[in-house]
Amino acid sequence: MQLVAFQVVNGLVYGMLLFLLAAGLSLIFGLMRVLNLAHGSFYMLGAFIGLALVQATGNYWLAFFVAPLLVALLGAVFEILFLRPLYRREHGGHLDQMLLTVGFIFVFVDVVRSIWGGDVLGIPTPEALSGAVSIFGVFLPKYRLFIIVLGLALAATLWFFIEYSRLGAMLRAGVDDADMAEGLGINVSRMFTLTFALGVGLAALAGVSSGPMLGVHTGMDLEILIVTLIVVVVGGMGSLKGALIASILIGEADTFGKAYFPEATMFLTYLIMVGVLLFRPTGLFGIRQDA
Amino acid sequence: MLELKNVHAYYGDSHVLHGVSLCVEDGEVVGLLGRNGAGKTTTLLTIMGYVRCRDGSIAYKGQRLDGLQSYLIARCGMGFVPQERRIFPSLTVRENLTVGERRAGRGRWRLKDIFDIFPNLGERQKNLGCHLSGGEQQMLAIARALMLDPSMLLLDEPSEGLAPMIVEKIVQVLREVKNKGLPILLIEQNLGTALKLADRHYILSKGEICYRGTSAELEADETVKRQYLGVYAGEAAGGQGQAPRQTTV
Amino acid sequence: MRTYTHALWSLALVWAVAGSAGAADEIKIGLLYPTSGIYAAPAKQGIQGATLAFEEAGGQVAGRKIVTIVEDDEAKPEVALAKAKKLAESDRVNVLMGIIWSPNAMALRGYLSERKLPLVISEAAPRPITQELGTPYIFRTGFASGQLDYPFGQYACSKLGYKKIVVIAFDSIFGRELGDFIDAGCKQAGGAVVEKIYAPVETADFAPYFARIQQANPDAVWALWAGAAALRFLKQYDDFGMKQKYPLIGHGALTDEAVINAAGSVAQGVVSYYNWSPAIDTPENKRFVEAYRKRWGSEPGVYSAGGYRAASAILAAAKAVGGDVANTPKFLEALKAVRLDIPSPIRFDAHQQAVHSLYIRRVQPGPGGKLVNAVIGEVRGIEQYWPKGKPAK
Repeated sequence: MQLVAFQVVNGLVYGMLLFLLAAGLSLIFGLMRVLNLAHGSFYMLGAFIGLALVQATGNYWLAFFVAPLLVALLGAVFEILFLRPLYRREHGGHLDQMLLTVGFIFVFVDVVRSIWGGDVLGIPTPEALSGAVSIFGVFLPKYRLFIIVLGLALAATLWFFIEYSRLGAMLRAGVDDADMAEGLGINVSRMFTLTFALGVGLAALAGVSSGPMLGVHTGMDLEILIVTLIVVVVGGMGSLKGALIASILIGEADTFGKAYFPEATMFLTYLIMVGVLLFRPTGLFGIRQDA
Repeated sequence: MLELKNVHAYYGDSHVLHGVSLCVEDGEVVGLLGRNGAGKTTTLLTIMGYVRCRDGSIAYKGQRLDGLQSYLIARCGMGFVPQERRIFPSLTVRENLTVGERRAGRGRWRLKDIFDIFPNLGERQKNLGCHLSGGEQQMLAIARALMLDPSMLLLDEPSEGLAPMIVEKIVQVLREVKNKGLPILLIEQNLGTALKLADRHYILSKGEICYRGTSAELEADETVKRQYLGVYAGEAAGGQGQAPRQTTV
Repeated sequence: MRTYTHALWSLALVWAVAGSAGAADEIKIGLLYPTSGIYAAPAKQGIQGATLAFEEAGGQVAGRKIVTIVEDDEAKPEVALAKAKKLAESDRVNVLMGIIWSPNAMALRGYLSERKLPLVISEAAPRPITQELGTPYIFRTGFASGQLDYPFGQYACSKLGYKKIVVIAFDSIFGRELGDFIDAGCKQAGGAVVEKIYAPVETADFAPYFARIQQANPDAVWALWAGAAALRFLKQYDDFGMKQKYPLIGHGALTDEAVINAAGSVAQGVVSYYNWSPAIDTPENKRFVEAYRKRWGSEPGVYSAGGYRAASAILAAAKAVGGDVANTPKFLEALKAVRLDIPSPIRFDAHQQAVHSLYIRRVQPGPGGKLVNAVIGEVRGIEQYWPKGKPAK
């Protein structure tokens, strides 16, 4: 029983990390119809920029807040410079956007490698969160519990922002019908830029917060991208609720799979994806793909 | 105040508008008529900046609209009510109304006024857009445009597919809007409705303006009605046949 | 006009002769290492170790200049083969060295025989390549899989007293083979491996596997992880407080110098084994460590020693044939007879596999407080066929 609880918590930790990525990826897709395949790269950039800030200042919390902001800024510039010119192309330039973001996977990884090299680096666990606590006989690192709290808090904040704020309503209007939103005087291009910045900022936050747990290295972008894509497909493109539930589902499936069917872990994950796609082609909470 | 001069527009390679010129003056309701595919909706979409005006000019209150992004055209005071209403399905009624509001509480129509005009919307303000009936969606689309505090309305077939009672209600609301001095450019398949509301009319055929005249002139001109609108004597109702013969003289 | 043409022809001829003479004078060595990806750090160490050996030789053997060409095999067999072909056919190297990723060594085997190109493997450990699939062209200065692990399994049971062991290794032929060797060694010494966990080589999060370790409740956990994964494993093993409950022992890659330097205190106390440690207290080893430190400004790791050893073997054989490495049969004969003392003693057995010493090391603070792999035990003369006398095909 304790072992099951232990696994549930571990699955939740992984799930929360996935959520931070999937939420951004899903929002970006929902609003902009851009499948940002460089999403994992922004996660990696968050981790490396966070690492650089920790090394420069010795202060983890500074890195925790500043690295995502810097990456969000970078994301905004990226969107304006590279994605914006593609929207007006035929069929919304979807294929072009995908190729572009794939190209940037390689650009970012080479940039990171040229600055930091190919070694695996680690961000030290912040003092206040190092060590472990024992809850009902289950031994858990404090930092992992922090990740769960962080993920749930961000999920709540994002949900509140999207469901109850005016900007959130504008965002949802844009997701529903970007042209109509524009016809009501909403500056949809700026919403695109802000959403992209928010999305990749969240990915960067995931990156910098995974650093003390999983380390920082140049392969982390693709490691997380594949699973994130699965989460978004299972949860439904454009749905925050879907992203949260699918993240936890995949996180737990992965964790339990590793523990009990180690050879079939990925199989289990793909099985969930195939199952969901068979019965709900748009994902658990997917928005309609027509219009 | 809204003036289109020699506007040309294309969908891809196909030339849809061939030099459309029209104007809407202050306080005036202008009907834009014509058969399906004549270019009525395209004209509205071009005014709103969704379709590029490749040649010619669109001016509103002395400002050029062509070349501006749609959201800026909307902010110039254009209240756009599109065909098929395009209500945001995942926003509540209330959110649909307030999402584009730029001068909250200072416009001519506030939420309260809207709910007075359309009590249905008031009752259903917490419902999602996708749960409304067709009539309610049309009302919401008009209300949503009014909430922008526009200086002009662009309406694309507001009566399409609606029950007579609801069409009546909408006509009544639009009259009130007109009485407040708001100019309207109205696309309408139903000639009767158009004649009731509009002061002047343009008829489009194959992307060109082929007729202009007042309601009285149009009503009297059986040839034009037959040739361009497919309306025969004694059958004044629109080609769709959904509306009853409310428009016979 | 005629004189002019003559002059041109003569010039061309002189160039051609000079050119070919230049090529014959050089000893061209191709270094195949996975310089990108998760083995980038080990590859860098290997190349630095080899470079040090070439530089110590003055960049020449018997007056012939040593030219090295490094290629990235990306730890992918098909890439390794393509790069080997490029080195052989376009760069015309005389000998290849390197290879960390085991399948790459297997992938090259056929091509090397066909091309009659010698390869000195510094790390890759697939067992058959110096046993039933041995060829005259492949030598290995690193160890064969199982060569060190079987005796360590025995050592862990008999000397360290761990009778119940859980194996956790990356899922590959190599990882599984090593797990089996540990198991066999344990059994021979009266212990057992009670659980074997094989996880993907790119595993980022080990937490799910810790539950299974807790369930098995062993005396110790034997781990095989390298590079990025090793760092994460050590960190997470410590984060979850596993280290206090289940002592961690493992393959040398787990406590590679680069790893323990990055990992810090979480690596302290881990017992590992390898054919080398920078802390081996012999004059030969101290000389190597000092020279490496001075040249590269960093601590040598096991891959540094591996690269140095492979390069030294090539140098020794080249010297024995007076620099005439182009004479492949002579060069191969010379290689077989090579014996090295730096950084640790090796010689080749009849199947061109190095015979090593096994060093048992513990991670602890060394002089100056930096973590080192301090040697706590040594077993000499470890051959690839274990137990001794096992028939070699």
